[in-house]
Order: sequence, then structure tokens, then C-alpha cells
Amino acid sequence: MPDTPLDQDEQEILSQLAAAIIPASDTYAVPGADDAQIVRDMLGSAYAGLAADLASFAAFGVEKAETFRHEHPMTAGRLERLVVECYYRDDRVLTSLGLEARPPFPKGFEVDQGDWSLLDPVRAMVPIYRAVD
Amino acid sequence: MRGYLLESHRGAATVETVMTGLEWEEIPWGPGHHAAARKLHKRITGFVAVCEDMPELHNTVTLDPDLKDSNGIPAPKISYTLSENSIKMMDHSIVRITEILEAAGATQTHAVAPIEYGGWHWLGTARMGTDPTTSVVNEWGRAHDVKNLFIVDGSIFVTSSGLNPTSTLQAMALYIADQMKQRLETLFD
Ligand SMILES: Cc1cc2nc3c(=O)[nH]c(=O)nc-3n(C[C@H](O)[C@H](O)[C@H](O)COP(=O)(O)OP(=O)(O)OC[C@H]3O[C@@H](n4cnc5c(N)ncnc54)[C@H](O)[C@@H]3O)c2cc1C
Repeated sequence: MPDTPLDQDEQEILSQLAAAIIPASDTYAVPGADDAQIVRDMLGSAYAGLAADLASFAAFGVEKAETFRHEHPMTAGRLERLVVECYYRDDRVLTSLGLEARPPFPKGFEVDQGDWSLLDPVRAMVPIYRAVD
Repeated sequence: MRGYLLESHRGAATVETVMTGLEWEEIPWGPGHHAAARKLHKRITGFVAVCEDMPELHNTVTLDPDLKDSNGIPAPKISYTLSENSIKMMDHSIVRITEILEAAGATQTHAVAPIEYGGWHWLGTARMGTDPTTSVVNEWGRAHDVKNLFIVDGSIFVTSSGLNPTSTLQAMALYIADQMKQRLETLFD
């Protein structure tokens, strides 16, 4: 993958698409997916064929984004994944969701314990498998 | 006929939640995105049913007459149609899974069958059996027709097994290797 997989025009289309999917929100105090830092992340994560997918979106334009989404679900799905993956690993976005802005490894997370007694009937069951010799 | 395995999944993490919400149109594009995504976040989980597809003659892997790789080797051509039995199994599993999820407090459920993305278990193209007219390898993995050919992979399954197959596949590999060792003297007879 070259350093900048998209030319200037294509980058502009990517930003428009990103904002069409996830715009900024004052209510939740989060940037849109067209935030410069997030777009940079998307450029670094670009997949082969991204430019062609963006051209397909550009043929509809932002006003007809919904039509594009419904008429080209596979293309829209690939673009959505790129936008969503990069958006939802941005520290600001993770923090706004109440998550710690860090990967699970190596510190791990405390997992809430459920009601383990729900498994008592299962544990009490006779084996449903054949014992090995 | 036959059955399926129900596999319960842990709750989806953030990206998977949003992708699922978009796919099911629970999450729109545009200004409604954030509220909808937050409604689902940490609140979705799922089940998978792994159904036992039976061996059916209408499902085949043949050599593609046109498509070839860069070495001129024909590509495999897969013809696959879901049988009535498999469709009934999937329908049955959806009803059971919905019951389980609703009993656990689900307020909304979605079903996708068969899945578009994810694990399809391609098994059984060189099935094991004692009868050379209905199987490709014998009961210890050697091809009926070619005495120095052993097939040791998922193709020797006789059905799709209705389970995640890899552990069984590994056990079969150990079993066949052991059989070869024990039969060294007469292996190719
Ligand atoms: C998306 C997905 C998810 C799955 N999830 C699970 C799961 O959670 N649990 C589970 O138990 N099973 C799962 N399965 C099924 C499981 O992965 C397969 O059944 C299993 O890997 C098959 O093993 P195999 O050895 O038969 O074939 P493969 O693992 O496919 O191995 C075949 C090998 O042959 C190589 N090869 C092909 N052509 C040539 C050639 N001409 N020359 C040399 N080498 C060649 C290929 O590169 C490959 O490495 C999943 C399958 C998929 C597709």
C-alpha cells in the first residue's frame, strides 16, 4: 500500500462519506468520522479497491447517500467497515462511550460475574457424551 | 433429520456492535447514528446454529471449464443448493434461539440464515467409507483407487457434522497417521 493510497479528490470524497455515515455530535461531544485524525487513520488502513468503492459512492453524491447504501450494499458495507473501525478506536470516541481508551491486552478488564448458579442444573446432568477409553 | 449445535456468543464489542446495527438498519447513516449506536452498545449478543448438512448429490465441486489460475490450473467450481432438510433445520434453530434470547430478556431479535459472512464448513468432497462406489477413501484414509494416496483433511467427513469440525479433523489426522504407522509393511498393497 503506498503512503497515500488516495489522491486529494479521493480523500475529499472519503471525508464526505465519513461525515455522511457518522457526523459530529454536540449532544455526545464527539467528533465526526471526517475528523482529520480519524481520516488519517483511515488512509493508513485503506484496503485495495478503496478508490473504486469511493468512486462508486461519488457517482451518487452525499445527497443520495441513502440510495447508494441500498443499491450497493456490498460496496457500502466495505466502506462502512473502514469508517467504523477507525472511528471507534479513536480515544475521544472510546472515552465518550465510557470505555478506557486502551486495548484489552496486556492489562485486561474486570468482567462482571453473572449468576453462576444458573449452571447448577447443567452440572447436575448425567454425562451426554461417551467416556474415552 | 439430524441436528445442529447451538453456540452462544459473548456480547459484541464496539465495532462489531455498530457494524451489526448498520447491517440490520438499527443504526442509520447521519445524525441519528450516535443515539442508535449507544442504544445497542453493550446490549447485543447472539447465537449461531451449526447445522448438519447431509451429503447430497446435487452439491458438487468440479473443475471450472473456463476459470484458471496463473499456472493454468482450473479453479474449483462449487455448485451448492440448500436442501429442504437443511432449510427446515435452520428454521427450527431460529425459533429455538429466539425463545432462548427472549427468555433471557431480549427486546428485539434478528435472524440471518444462512449467514452471509463467517464460517462455512466445506467438508465431505472425498468421503470416507468401506464401499469404493460410494466413497473416496477407505476407513483408514487411503484412497480406494490410488493405493499410495492418503487424504487427511476435512474432505473425508461424511456429512458437515453439525459441529465446529477442526478438533475432529485433528483427531482424524492422528488416527490416520497411526494407522499408516501400524500398517507400514503392507501400506500400499
Ligand atoms: C470463516 C471460517 C470460520 C471457521 N470457523 C471455525 C471454527 O470456529 N471452529 C472450527 O472447528 N472450524 C471452523 N471453520 C472450519 C475449519 O476452518 C475448516 O473446516 C478446516 O480448517 C479445514 O481444514 P483442512 O485441513 O481440511 O483444509 P484447510 O485448512 O483449508 O487447508 C487446506 C490447505 O491446502 C492449501 N492448498 C490449496 N491448494 C493447494 C495446492 N495446490 N498446493 C499446495 N497447497 C494447497 C491451502 O492453502 C490450505 O492451507 C471455519 C471455516 C471458515 C471458512
